[in-house]
Amino acid sequence: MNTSTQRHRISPVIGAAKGLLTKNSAIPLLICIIMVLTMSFTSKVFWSLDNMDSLQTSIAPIAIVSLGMVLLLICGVFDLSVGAIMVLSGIVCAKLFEFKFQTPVVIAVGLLVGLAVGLLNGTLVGILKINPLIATIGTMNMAQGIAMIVFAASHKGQAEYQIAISLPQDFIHVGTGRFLGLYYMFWVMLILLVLVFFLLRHSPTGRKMFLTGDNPEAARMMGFNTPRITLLTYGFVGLLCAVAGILSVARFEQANRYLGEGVNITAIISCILGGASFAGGRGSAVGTVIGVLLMTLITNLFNLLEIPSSWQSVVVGAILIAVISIDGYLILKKQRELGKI
Amino acid sequence: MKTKPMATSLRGKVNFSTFTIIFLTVGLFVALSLFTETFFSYSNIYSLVFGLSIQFFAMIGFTYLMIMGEIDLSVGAVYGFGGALLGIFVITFQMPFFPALILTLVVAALIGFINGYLVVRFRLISMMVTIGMMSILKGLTSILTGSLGAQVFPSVYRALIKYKLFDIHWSIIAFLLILVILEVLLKWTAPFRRMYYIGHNINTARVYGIKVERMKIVAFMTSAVTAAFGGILATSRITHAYPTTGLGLEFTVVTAAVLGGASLFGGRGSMLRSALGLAFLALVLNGMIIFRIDPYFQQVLLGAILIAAVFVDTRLNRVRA
Amino acid sequence: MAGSTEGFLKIKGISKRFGAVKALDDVSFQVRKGEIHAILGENGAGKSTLVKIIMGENSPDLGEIELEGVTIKIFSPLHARSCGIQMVHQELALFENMTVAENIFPWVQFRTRLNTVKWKKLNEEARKRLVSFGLESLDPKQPLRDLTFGAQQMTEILRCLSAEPKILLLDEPTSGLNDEEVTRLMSTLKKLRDNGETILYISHKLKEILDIADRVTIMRDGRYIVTLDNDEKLTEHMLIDSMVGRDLSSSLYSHKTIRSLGGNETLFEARHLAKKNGIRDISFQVRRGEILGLYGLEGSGTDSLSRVIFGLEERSGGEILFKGKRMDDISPEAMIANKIMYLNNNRKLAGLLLDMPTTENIAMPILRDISRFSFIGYKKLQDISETYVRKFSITIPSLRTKPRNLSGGNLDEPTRGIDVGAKAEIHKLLLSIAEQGVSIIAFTSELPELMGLSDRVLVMKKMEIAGELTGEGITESAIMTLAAKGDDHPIGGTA
Repeated sequence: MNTSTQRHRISPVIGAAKGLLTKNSAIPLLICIIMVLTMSFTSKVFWSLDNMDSLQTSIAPIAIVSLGMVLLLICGVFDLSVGAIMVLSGIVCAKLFEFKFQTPVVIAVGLLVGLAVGLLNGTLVGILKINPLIATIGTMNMAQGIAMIVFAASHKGQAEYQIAISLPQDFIHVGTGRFLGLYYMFWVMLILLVLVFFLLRHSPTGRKMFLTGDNPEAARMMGFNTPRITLLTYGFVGLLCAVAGILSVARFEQANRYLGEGVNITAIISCILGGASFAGGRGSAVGTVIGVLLMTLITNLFNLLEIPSSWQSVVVGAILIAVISIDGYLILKKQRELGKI
Repeated sequence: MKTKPMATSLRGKVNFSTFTIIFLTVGLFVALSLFTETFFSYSNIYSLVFGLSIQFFAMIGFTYLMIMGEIDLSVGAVYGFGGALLGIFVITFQMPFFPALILTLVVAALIGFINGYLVVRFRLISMMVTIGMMSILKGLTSILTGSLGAQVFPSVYRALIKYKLFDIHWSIIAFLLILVILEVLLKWTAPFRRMYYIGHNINTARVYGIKVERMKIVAFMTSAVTAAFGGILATSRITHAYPTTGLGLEFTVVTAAVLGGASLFGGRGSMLRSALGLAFLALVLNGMIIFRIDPYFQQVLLGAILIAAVFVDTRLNRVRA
Repeated sequence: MAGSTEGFLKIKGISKRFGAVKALDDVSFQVRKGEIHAILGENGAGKSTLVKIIMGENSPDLGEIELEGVTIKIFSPLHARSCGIQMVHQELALFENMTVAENIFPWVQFRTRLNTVKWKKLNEEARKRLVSFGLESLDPKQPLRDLTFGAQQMTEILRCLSAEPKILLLDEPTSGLNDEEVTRLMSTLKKLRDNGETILYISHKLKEILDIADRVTIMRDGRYIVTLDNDEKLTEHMLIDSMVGRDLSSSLYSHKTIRSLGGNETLFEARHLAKKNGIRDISFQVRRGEILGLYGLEGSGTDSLSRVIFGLEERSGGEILFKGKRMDDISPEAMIANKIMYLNNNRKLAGLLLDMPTTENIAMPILRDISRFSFIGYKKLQDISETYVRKFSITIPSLRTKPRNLSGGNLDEPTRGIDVGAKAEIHKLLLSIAEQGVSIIAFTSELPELMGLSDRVLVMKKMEIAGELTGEGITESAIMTLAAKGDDHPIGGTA
């Protein structure tokens, strides 16, 4: 008995580390380590500043979105419109700059847009009880459409893929500024990671999310306001997508219409690699970020080795299938041992 | 225990959801016919049905899976992959057409088998497994189309879609025939009826001797084969392989099935209503084009209509939502 | 006893109608504080409707509920809980992926000053309560899905208690428990009552009610009949009389005539059936027309054996012979092809399709028989359905009614959760088809039922067959001796 209480006193960090190694996110972590080692030895540029920068800016936005997505998966739902919200926020911001608004205002509006779409998702899924797959496909289409309308507003007929206006310096700084050598956006991700970790592990709200995803009926009977939890979580995710979108636009100094493409699937896969499941009631903050790391490192590796990017999808898909198969097998084995099967 | 006189009629109350999609589709059709000049023309409707007949192939196995409570999100990717793979066989390997076609479908069956086996053997959630498979196939398709470049397919391939019977493309005839046959099979024959039982309560189905595992694997294989075939037809129509063929198709198919009354939890759905769902989406798209709605705004409208339609369906069918 | 504790919970004139059916008709009674108050009645008596109203899932057409002198209109289960009424459901409301401790305290009652989860305290408290329930072997940090059904139910009870309820409502709580767990539950409830807890106990199990209830309210046909004090004079007989409104002169299960089956051939034989970490070397035979009863305490392997025989669980060794020939394929399809049927004891889990019409449910096992070239003969199905319904005197509004709407016991399913009257009917039915040559292997955890039905009894203990009893030798003490001797299992459930 004493050992367990002592363990709890030591540190939540060690608890997290333990949790990691015993769950199926151990495999992605292992693969990450292998890849880092491989690239360190086979490529002279891996540890270069340029590459590290590029890694940061690839990881951060997706990780931010994924940390939101994992909350939804834990609650037993998900959101396919995340990429669309990113591009919508980004393009709205760029447009507002065209009209010479000030940076703080623009950013505020951009965040609001994300929040609004997120709350819309939350209303549809949480309150109106529409299936999340259809609901978020719907909002995805709507957001993309609106984004393109805004985009094309003053570029009618032109086949451009980005809004060609120069963004103000202070805005660009948001995306390119550094603190202690790391990009602001990377710090944002780290802070978010700590926040979400804490939320899931130590806050009653986080635990409620797990319970809601595990058994929605029972959660309702326990008195948990499931619609409200869903609504607020979706809203939060929308906000995070806006953050990611704005950071991307600022960093690359352009509002690209292809921003956010494929992010929804990438985020979902990252979360699942980190232990989440569509069934709800499972997921981890650290695991999710490791998942993002894995996906990004694969891209990085393939770029350095000059392997065509299409192979990335293949590898990612294969890893996903392998991870969930092993996870499924282990659960099955346990149930067999208990004699339940 | 008392005995009461029983109502013995088998014609029970009709489910609301049966009507919803029929009502929506027919209503839209009528509305478009009345309020536009260009909709109700032979060429327009013909091209609509033609497009439907190709996409429908991706829905066949998919609907069965949904009735049984599973989902296959890789249909879009298989659709694209099928066309590209056949192209490789025919162009790069210079295989004769029909053997290559068979081989492609065999590969598709294998893909479906893998999906089904993983879901059944490890009791995995089909959405997750098929997302992974989708990713793999998207990548492979991209590689294959990249290697093919913009080469145009040989005429045999291109001609596949062009055969006509009584001046109507054979795919349309096949589509309608298959639709009718499958619908009848679903409602009236034992093997297909079992799918509904599986969807309703898989444990009960097992206890009564239904070979649940086998049926699911077969359904996954069917889904992949029919999707690949649809993709081949689509590719034949556009004469060379695009990497984006089938992109987003899985979302279209899911939406069509749900509009058609299928539930993501299984136990409901029908071939006819799925096809109607697909038709509804096609009509919406067509209507928007006729009204010259800005293409970007079309997307917005599509999203909104989707949500509205499913909302109505959810409202009417609270119990099984 | 009387005075301030009287009228703690008052049910006043509750009536409820569902369409043409009057489920409750002017039901009134009172529950005293700190008592165990049982509600007894046959299926269809209105117990579950009343419970739903108390729990806020339905609202009454007429009448009201008064708790501690205050009239309350309960409009949702959440509201009921916040009023202090906690219920342990028949189908558990638990979180399988979460730990035992979290299941006991889903509301996270232990928080730090910063409103974060106090894990240490949570786990310690959970452990304390588990120990007080006699469940020391359970680790509060393990996931709930690793627990047995009985342990899970205990956890749910603990959860209700953690909310410090004014009234604890238990609806048929012992349906999934073995004798040992039932005994544990009974003693725990008594302890709770002694500590001042008020408990509403809904059940149809007379023995249990006589064991723990202070008072019993009996309902019949939606009406309140009487509330009886559980003093020494109260007997099962008296309860049945009130419940059923007719006099069953003999005891529940009339004595079986001992049948001579010596001449009948062996129809079914199991040889050395075994399962990894499970049953070991199970062999037995069943003759034509014989009813073989199988009994065992929790963990003895009876449940697993029933599933292994039918092919629902994998076996690691042994074989099955049917009509003298070895069965190569032990699976549900093979069994059904040989006309061996399996009736499950958990209807909702695996026995019925709740949302499909009754006809379809009946159709399921006989699909092949009624289809020609795979086309289902719906007319034939209709006929067969009508015949069976008439035979079993089933009351249903129409053949298209879905089983979800029917009360338990109306369909030909084994007797869990089924009231007295229906059970007797089912037993009569089983006995009659045995007369016609159908063999029955009955797995049951109810001794009277076991004894009333079986020609022969096999008792299992610790995954093996402990012994066999026939004819006159089938007595409660003989059975329990075989089932429990040599362990520290308390012998429970006996009068």
